[in-house]
Amino acid sequence: MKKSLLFIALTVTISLKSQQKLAFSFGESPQTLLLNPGAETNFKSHYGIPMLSDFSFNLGLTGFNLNDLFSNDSRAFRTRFEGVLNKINSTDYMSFNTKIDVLNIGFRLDKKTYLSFGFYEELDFISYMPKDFIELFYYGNAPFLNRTFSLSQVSMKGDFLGVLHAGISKKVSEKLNIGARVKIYSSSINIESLNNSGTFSSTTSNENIIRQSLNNINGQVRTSGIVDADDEYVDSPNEYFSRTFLGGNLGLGLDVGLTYHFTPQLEFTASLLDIGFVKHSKNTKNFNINGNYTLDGLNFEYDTSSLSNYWQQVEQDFRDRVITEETQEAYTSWRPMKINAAFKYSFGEKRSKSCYSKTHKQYYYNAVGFQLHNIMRPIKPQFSFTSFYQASFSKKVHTKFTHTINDYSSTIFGAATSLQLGKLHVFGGLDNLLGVADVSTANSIAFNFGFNIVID
Amino acid sequence: MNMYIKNLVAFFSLCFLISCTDNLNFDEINLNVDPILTAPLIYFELNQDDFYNSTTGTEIPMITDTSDFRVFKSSSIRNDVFKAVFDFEIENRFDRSFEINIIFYDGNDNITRTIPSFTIVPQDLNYVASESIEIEASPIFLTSRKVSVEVKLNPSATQIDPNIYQIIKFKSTGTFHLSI
Repeated sequence: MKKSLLFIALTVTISLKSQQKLAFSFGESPQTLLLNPGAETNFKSHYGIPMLSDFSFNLGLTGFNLNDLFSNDSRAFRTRFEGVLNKINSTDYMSFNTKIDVLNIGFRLDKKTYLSFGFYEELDFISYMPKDFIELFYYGNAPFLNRTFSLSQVSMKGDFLGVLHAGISKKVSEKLNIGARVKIYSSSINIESLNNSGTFSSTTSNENIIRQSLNNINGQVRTSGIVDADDEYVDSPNEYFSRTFLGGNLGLGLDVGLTYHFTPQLEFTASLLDIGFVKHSKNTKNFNINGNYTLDGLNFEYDTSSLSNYWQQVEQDFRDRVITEETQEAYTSWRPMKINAAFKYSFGEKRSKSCYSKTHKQYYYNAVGFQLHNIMRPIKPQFSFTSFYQASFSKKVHTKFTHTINDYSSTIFGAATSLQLGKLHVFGGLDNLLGVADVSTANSIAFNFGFNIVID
Repeated sequence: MNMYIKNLVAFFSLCFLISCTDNLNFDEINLNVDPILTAPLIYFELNQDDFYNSTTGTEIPMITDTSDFRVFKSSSIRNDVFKAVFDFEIENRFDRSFEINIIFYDGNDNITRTIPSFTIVPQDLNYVASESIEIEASPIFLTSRKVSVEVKLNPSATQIDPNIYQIIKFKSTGTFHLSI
């Protein structure tokens, strides 16, 4: 069991951000509408191939990589584990995100308006490394007299949900295109432990040799979907999946975005995604702990007239002062909002492309630019800066090369391509090309692909 | 374009094909966690009048107090602990010497462990002692459910005077070595 857990935890070494970095501001792909509802589209309609229209898979871990733990050398695993424990800090994290587009369709309403809608499933998880408590569990408190262990380092959030969405992209002028997408979330599972606070410490004391203290402890774990109405744990995968189809806890979200051309060659795109929440009221189970407690030990009083059971007194005093409770209260969970922005300067050979309604779009064969990507996460935002070069080899073949700096690395190189094979549009991206050669030492690798029927 | 597409497919395929996790070894994942947990145990402070019977005007030669000791009620602790260490610090400001006995009992009041007696001479303000118990050698210790501390006033020509504030201070911790 320990091996399995370790394996699961530690294979999460690869950090992926391909979808946002590679597909954003890559206007020839229908997927870009999910990243920027205000993206310009040059097609009459698109029909995503069910389950294959957009697939992205993101795993991330900061602080160490697989090689740090599983390198095939003479050191004992314990030595390597302790080395990793020494390296990480409380802002390092493990994250996982995957999205599968179940349905994605779009069509042009008129020359200026493109509508798209669909449904996707998303699994999203992030957990920060509670270094204090990992060390406390691993070493115990004895080696750490007078050290404070902070409960605030315990911060995690996991979601499994389905998202039904409908969006509109509207050309306001020759320069400006805006868009918005409304989302209905159907959460199947939510687990989160956020905004915890308080400390534990073992300190030297005048009263006894040491004193143990819980100071201002305020912790919570909120779950929904894990237990059913009878308080029994749900163990049916089918039930988890079925609840993502509007059968779970519902929420509402909004994406907004725009594309603005300062000049025919200079373009700015930006989007805010998942400005939304889920109201969890069904199948909730929450755990709370609050209080302060100081333990000096069992204070023997040698009072023969009133014998005391000191241990029982301590236990009762602890229960009175540190309140633990299980509740089934409803709660609201905010979606992790994403912020994207990109500047793109197009240059080179100028071509014309026939688009919907026998209109033509002029475009350049080359472009350079940079983009910012940010996900609001519990402890701090995950921020990425990407510079890119785009090249079109024909009207139907486009490529994008990226260099990204983020929490994982400052040398993440990626490549994506967008192909039009008849009516079939294929999008594929691979990030951290350097890391692919040896995943064990990589902090960031990615892939993302999609197959859509696109009608020009 | 066909050539380009072929090259592109070849490129991405190559990336995936050369992707590897060379030199990783998942066979030796054997992580034993050996935490050492320490906690305050018994403490007290006794004055001279704790050893004086004001009704009879005589000394009380020995006092005893007892408490539950529930550390080993948890089966996970019982299964994982391999050593227990008890540390003591005693400050004797009396002009008399004391003997302190610490005894562990099981739920039926059978003795499971007796810590060797401490004799603290008068005005010894920094008496320290430690007792280490290897569980493998004394598995019966895991059945301990109570602990008592006897404080004996050793005979002396000097009488206890309850009107004079003099104390004996006792502190202790328990440290438990686990292998999980």
